[in-house]
Amino acid sequence: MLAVEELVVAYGRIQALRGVSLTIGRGEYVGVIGPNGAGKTTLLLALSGALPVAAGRIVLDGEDLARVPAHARVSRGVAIVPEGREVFGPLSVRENLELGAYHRRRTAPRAEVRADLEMVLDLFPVLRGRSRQLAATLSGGEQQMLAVGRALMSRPRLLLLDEPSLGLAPVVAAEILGALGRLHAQGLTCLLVEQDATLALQATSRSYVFRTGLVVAHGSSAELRRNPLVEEIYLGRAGSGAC
Amino acid sequence: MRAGRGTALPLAGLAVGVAALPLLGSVFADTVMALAGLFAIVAVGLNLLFGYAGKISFGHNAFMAMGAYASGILTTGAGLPPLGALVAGAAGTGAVAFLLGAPILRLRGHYLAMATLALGEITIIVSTRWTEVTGGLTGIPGVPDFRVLGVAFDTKTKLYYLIWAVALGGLCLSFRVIDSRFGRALRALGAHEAAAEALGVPVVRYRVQVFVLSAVYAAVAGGLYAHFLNYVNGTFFDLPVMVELMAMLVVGGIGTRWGPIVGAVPLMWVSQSLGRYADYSLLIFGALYGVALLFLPRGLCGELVAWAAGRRGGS
Amino acid sequence: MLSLLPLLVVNGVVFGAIYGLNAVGFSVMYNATNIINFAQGEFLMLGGMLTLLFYGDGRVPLPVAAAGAVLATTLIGLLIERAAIRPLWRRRAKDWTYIFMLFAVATVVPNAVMLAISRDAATFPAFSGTRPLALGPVTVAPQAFWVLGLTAVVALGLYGFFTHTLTGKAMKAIAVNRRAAAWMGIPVERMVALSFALSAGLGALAGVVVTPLITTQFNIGLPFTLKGFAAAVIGGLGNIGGAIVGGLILGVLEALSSAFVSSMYGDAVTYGILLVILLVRPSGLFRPLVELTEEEI
Repeated sequence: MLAVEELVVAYGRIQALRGVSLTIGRGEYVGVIGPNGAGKTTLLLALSGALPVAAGRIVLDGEDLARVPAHARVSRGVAIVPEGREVFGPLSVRENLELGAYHRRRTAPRAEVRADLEMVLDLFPVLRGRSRQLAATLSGGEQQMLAVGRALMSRPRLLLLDEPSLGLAPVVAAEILGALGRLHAQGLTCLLVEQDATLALQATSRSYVFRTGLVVAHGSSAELRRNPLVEEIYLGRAGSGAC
Repeated sequence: MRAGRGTALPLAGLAVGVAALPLLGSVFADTVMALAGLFAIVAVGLNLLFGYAGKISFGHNAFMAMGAYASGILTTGAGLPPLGALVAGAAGTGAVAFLLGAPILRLRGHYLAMATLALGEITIIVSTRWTEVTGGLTGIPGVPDFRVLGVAFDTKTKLYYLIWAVALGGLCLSFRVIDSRFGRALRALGAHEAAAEALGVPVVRYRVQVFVLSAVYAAVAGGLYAHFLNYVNGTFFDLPVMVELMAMLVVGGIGTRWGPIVGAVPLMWVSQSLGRYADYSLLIFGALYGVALLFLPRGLCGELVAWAAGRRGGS
Repeated sequence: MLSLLPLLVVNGVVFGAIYGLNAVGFSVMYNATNIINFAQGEFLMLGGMLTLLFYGDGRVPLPVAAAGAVLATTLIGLLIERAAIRPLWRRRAKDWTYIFMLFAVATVVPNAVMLAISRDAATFPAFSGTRPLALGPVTVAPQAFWVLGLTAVVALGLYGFFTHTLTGKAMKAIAVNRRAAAWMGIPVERMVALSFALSAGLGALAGVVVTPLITTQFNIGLPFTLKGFAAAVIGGLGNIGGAIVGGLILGVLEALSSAFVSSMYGDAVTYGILLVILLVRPSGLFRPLVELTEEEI
């Protein structure tokens, strides 16, 4: 479904991605792990249209996304749950979710959108109690749920997740990843970027390992868990990841 | 750009050019360049405030007015010698800037812009209505010629020399400031105030100092203008002056050493050469600097510096 | 002097409503873009001057001329956005660039009007005659009711727009987080254009209704820009309801101070009020709709 070919993304003169290639098949749950600064977030920003591509291609179901501006990607089915949540603080939970379905405002019947909203609130019951509260008043974990729910409201074909466990208590992170797992089981294609390699390799079936803007390893998540390179990245230089 | 050799040559060149111009024998040219020099003085000060310290002021025309009125009132009413009046005006305006500076400069961005705009407008309105002091709409006529040490600057050409002597002096001073520790601190302040403060830059004090300095530049220019016209009237310093100054800064290059001069000279020529299209002056200036913002945001000097750096730095 | 109080207050409220409408224009644009429109007052001026132009010597019915003027001003607002703002937006220009650019617009527009239309002050007839109506102890020009009525309609309409329509909420979202808004599918650039159109139209409407009360001229824009901004700040920049309340407060303060403080310095006193507000309480009376971010120039 998604093919990334020799992708190069640069911040000024610094190349954050130096020729990355990966594929995601329909219905897969793929992970991207790697230390800080490896280019994982850059990948998602490029896929979601927030960063321009210096070289290479992003092909979604045969369409080259390079010409598609950021605000049009969601109508192609690409939705992102950004690092740091980035919910709309001064708006309510409900309003955040409604905005998630913005691109469907002319194409989908109101009842359908409302049904989706109920589904999200069922998926994350804690949000239901807070549906009229301003998003800024939510806890980190609740905001993460809201960010995921908001992305789901667009009925994505491909869900991009940028470090959903960041800053969350393990229990909360597990709950969110659990919900994502259930969604995947129902057919949602997901690309999970994570600093927490263990979490990512457990949740996904196949993963890529990034380091300094390149793919250095890739394979089934189960195998990667035993891969010495991965061990070195995560255990040898615990958390330093300066690139 | 480092000081010393980097600026000495162009400065010398400029000084030579300035000295040589009257040899052409055109009083019109001398007058235009004299006006350019006056605006350049204000622009240099404003450039320090905005280009380096990052603080917008849409009200510097008020400081020019204050300097002009001080010179006008003190020479006609109090009989002070012109130099004394000029210094007093600069000092007085500096004091006003000092008092206003601390509270006003706390504001940022558009708030500061609006506040300084309001201050400028208040000053001009008051100056045209406070008839007892400023002569109201009639202004102050009969301002004597500037004279120093027995030398009377009674022709436009002589005033041209005087103004450019001051302008070159002001320019040199600005280079000194830019290259000093104060100047570097200003740049840090302009780039990121919180970070500068964390690094120990006395933000408030430096802000006020550069504000006062820029106000003094404007006041001196205003005072000289009073002697140039032998007349002071607040309406001469209304918003159109501010527009011209902004255009000069933008076109010349904000935050560059030579930008104010590079902007002031050609634009003043444009302004004075319009003849019967004089009414179009503001329209042209506004359009000019709007276009500059779109296509030449770093100004002539800024683009030149960037282009030169690009060539030196390689791909 | 005190017997004049009711009249002063009424006058203050009427003009305050105009400041409020202008302030709403500021807030709408600020909500969507974080840009302060230094040319906001020019839209008001255009509303009056273009109506004058279209009305001519009365051959064109006034409502048609007015509608045409509002439409034309809205189009001009869109043109300004497309030509002057969009390029800056695309290259992520810093704050000061917008400030300078809009100031350039605020210079070009009135001068263009002066050269193309007229230098002089002029007016067109009031909408429903000039026979004053009694409002309690005060007599009021009928035009004043048009002003108040328009303000009420606008206030309600915008409130509904921003709190109950998806597009309105989308505009709020853009001000909060431009990138995240784009990820939702919100066409940020088009919304920016919409906010310009809205501010321009609002400004023009205000200009049309107020002209019979004050006459219009090419240079009335700047005072309205400053006062509209003052009103917006009083109410909390970005807060639509606050903008109108802020306008009313400013209008009344202005009327009272011109009577009790000084009438000689006219607008200078109002600008003084603006200064005081900026120095004492720039966040305004009501919490702004969107948190004010600390922007670096």
